[in-house]
Amino acid sequence: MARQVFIEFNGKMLRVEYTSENRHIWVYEQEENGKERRVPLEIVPLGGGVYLAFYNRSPLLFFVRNDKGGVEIQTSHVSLRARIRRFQPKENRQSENHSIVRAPMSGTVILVKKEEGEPVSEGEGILVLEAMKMQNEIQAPIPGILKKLHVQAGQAVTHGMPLFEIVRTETR
Amino acid sequence: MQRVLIANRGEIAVRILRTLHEMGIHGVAIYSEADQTALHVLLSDQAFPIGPEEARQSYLNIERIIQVAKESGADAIHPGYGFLSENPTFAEEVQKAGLVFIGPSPEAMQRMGDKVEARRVAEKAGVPVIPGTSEGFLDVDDALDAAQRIGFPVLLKARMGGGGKGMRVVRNEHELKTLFPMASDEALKAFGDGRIYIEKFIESPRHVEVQILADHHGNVVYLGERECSVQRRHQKVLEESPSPALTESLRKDMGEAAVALIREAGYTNAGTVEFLLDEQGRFYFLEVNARLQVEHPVTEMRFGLDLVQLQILVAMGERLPFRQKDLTPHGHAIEARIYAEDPYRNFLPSPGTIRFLVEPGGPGIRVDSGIYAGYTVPVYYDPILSKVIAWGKDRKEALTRLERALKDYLLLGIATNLPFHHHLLQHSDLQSGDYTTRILENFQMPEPEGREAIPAAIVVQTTQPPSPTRAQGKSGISRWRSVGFPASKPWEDW
Repeated sequence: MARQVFIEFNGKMLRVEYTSENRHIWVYEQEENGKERRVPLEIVPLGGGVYLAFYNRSPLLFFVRNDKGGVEIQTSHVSLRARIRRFQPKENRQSENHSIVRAPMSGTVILVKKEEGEPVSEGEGILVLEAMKMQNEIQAPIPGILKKLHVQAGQAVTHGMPLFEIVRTETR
Repeated sequence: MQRVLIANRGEIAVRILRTLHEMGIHGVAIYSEADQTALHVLLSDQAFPIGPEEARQSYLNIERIIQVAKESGADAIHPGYGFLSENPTFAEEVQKAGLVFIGPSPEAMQRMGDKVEARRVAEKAGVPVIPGTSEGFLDVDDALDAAQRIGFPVLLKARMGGGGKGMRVVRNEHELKTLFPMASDEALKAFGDGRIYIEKFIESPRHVEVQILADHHGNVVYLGERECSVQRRHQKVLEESPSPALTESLRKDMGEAAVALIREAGYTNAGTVEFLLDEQGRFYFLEVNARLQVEHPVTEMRFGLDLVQLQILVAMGERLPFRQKDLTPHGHAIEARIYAEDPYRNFLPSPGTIRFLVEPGGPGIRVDSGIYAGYTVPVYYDPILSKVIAWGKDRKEALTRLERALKDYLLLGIATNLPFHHHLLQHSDLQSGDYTTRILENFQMPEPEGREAIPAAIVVQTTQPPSPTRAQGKSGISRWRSVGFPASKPWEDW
């Protein structure tokens, strides 16, 4: 599982999932027609909240800052406001009672924070995966019980390998 | 002339400084507390603080400005546009202080500033004015008589009017009989005077203005026209020259009418005579702008002249270096005004800090600007940031260049009306040149399209460490940062 973000834009929900491999960022962008496309992305910071992105190889200069209730994104030709949500909308989440979390990238598990059978809350860190000198905390996508741990500290994992499983517990 | 004080700020102060420097004249800037780091201050030879942010206490403070002018050793004052530029008291005080006012005489300014007097001068000079009655009516039959003489549609206006009270557009005899008593009654209640004027209503006018120059030796010339019909809430946003609506003979008629009016008024220096042009190609005098106009570069580009330089020469008592027959315009010029306002939020002003700036250039492009990267646009003044002027051998080339230049304009940190201009340039009436002051009446900004920027912004927003910009003035980590995936290392490590 890669990093997944939902954005509310023009009243519609967009899903952006991104992952890094070999120092490249890939964005999986879900189009309005439901199709998904994989786009390479490179970002160079220019300071003061200004970035130069190469999105699908096209240079794109943009400015971004937190705005009341969301984020303001500006290019020279548009200024728009969007809300970023990390989790899926509730109605989708509730149907998901069993979650298998996979490695979003190849790397090494450097820390496991939880044990099998422990209760976990949504967004709680389960383990830390290091890749390209960057540590990423892998979190529980749903609240529940940590049913199964597939990996242990020090273990090398490849992209897509299952890391752990969580089973939802009814708390409501 | 050795030293000129510019009683203004922003892009126009910068523009005037440039001419002063070319003429070997020292430029003295003034600045309010909000403007110490403004571009016109940076580029000046000397700069003086003149008071707090509010214009009333700084850029409109006649006493203080004249005091600073004397202190600096300036021998003349250029007022730019806006602020005190059309204030006869200021022009008079400048002269009383023994300084040269670069503009018309206070008397001529006074005459042109008084709408009734200006209309009288125009009539005397044989310049058409909007047909109307010189008296107000209380009786519906008298009103009908007058309306029929003028010709429908007509506009009913309260004698003591203002704010649209008592104002009605009337298209025929029947409407007049119904609406006249209502208008009169409304006027009586609002202003204590029920008398109603009747004026010709010009349905879809164009707003066309003629640039004139007059020296103190009786020479008056006109420098073509500027088409200024593209206005949003009476604010011009785009101007071009020549006007797509004028024929050669109409151009000559309007130019000569403007010259006649200027002569009749005893007006000197640079000025603009504004006309309304109706759909039948009839023009009517509107008013005189007794100053340099925002859109003056459009004329400069076509005539290859520097109007500020000519203003200074005229103010020094020199003769205009040309006659009407020597003036031949070339090509087509269009100006887009860049404002700090957000077209996606109902054109709300957007002051703030400019984080990134590359202004356009290249063939046929001139940018008159008052900004730089890192500059904070203050909240206190006009939202104009800069003007992009495109010149081309014909209208098509000028439009193409303008469109290209606006795409090259990279400005981040504050919202601007650049997206508005992109859409305006796609407007079929603008492209054809067949437009009137109503062109933006039903103009709607389309939904912002920026989907390409979103994923990139998200990756930045959910992985980057807090930047100094975002940390400033904010307590703790914002909600939106905390919902992102935690990044234990800066995202540059990706």
